[in-house]
Amino acid sequence: MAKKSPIKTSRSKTNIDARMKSYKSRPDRLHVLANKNGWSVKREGTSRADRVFSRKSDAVIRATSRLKKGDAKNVIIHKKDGTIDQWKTSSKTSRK
Amino acid sequence: MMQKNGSFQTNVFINCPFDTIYKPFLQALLFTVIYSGLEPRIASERSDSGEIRVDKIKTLIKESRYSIHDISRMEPLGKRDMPRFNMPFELGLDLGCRAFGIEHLCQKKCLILEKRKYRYRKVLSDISGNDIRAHNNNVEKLVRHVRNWIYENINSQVQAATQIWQRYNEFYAYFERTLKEFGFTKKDIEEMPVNEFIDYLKSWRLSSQRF
Repeated sequence: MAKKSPIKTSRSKTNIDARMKSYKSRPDRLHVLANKNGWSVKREGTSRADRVFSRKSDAVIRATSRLKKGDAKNVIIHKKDGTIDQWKTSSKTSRK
Repeated sequence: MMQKNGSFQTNVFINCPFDTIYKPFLQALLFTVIYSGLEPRIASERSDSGEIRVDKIKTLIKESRYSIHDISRMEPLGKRDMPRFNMPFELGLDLGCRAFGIEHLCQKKCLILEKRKYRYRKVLSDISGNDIRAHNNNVEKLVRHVRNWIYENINSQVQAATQIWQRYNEFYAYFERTLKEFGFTKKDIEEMPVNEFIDYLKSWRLSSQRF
């Protein structure tokens, strides 16, 4: 049996682990992400893109207009490498 | 810290650079490997200044049936720098282990990634006969190559490349947001040790069991 380490894991590490484990996809989030054919606007948790654009700016305009219409609470705009470029939140909702 | 050592059958030795520029590639690569139910083994998974690096690499190679080598950065970082030979050296160790190793080591399989097709031939022509895949410095394409290689060699039930890429983007958004809420700065996230990133990735994977 493995010996228990005398060093305690930091509280924040444990809390972050717990938060990561409790992840649930949020359909009220739209992602603008790069794909093989350009840039797509996709609802979180779904596998099909709503629309694909050749230019990122067009995808951002589309996602932002849907945010303004109340069709989503957040728009997450990704860089080409998958990391975050911008996170937009609807003015009607507080950031969570 | 989570359990690091999987079994020989699921371990994937990752041979790639660890610099900041390559980090988005490494993170997406690790995601694809873990998402597909495999265990990444990487030289930076533990850091002990008393341990001889090449010994650690030899152990990782011996303990991993699979390996992924990205030799796209075997070039100088700056104009006055020398080229980097660590990746091709470790690739050589791995191919040697497969060629001369006994019993289960002969089952080893690897994926070699490059920046551009045939570029490596100018400096590493000995592997001209190998099947080498070019990601063209595109992270999505790297995910696609790794996923397809996993399908061909390890797991035919692996999800489609597009789905893995979409899940990676969703994971990354949640990961960064969560860490910022816990007081991590952009620099903290950028300079996070690879093994810490792997820990959070595995926690996220546990969240759903939808893989």
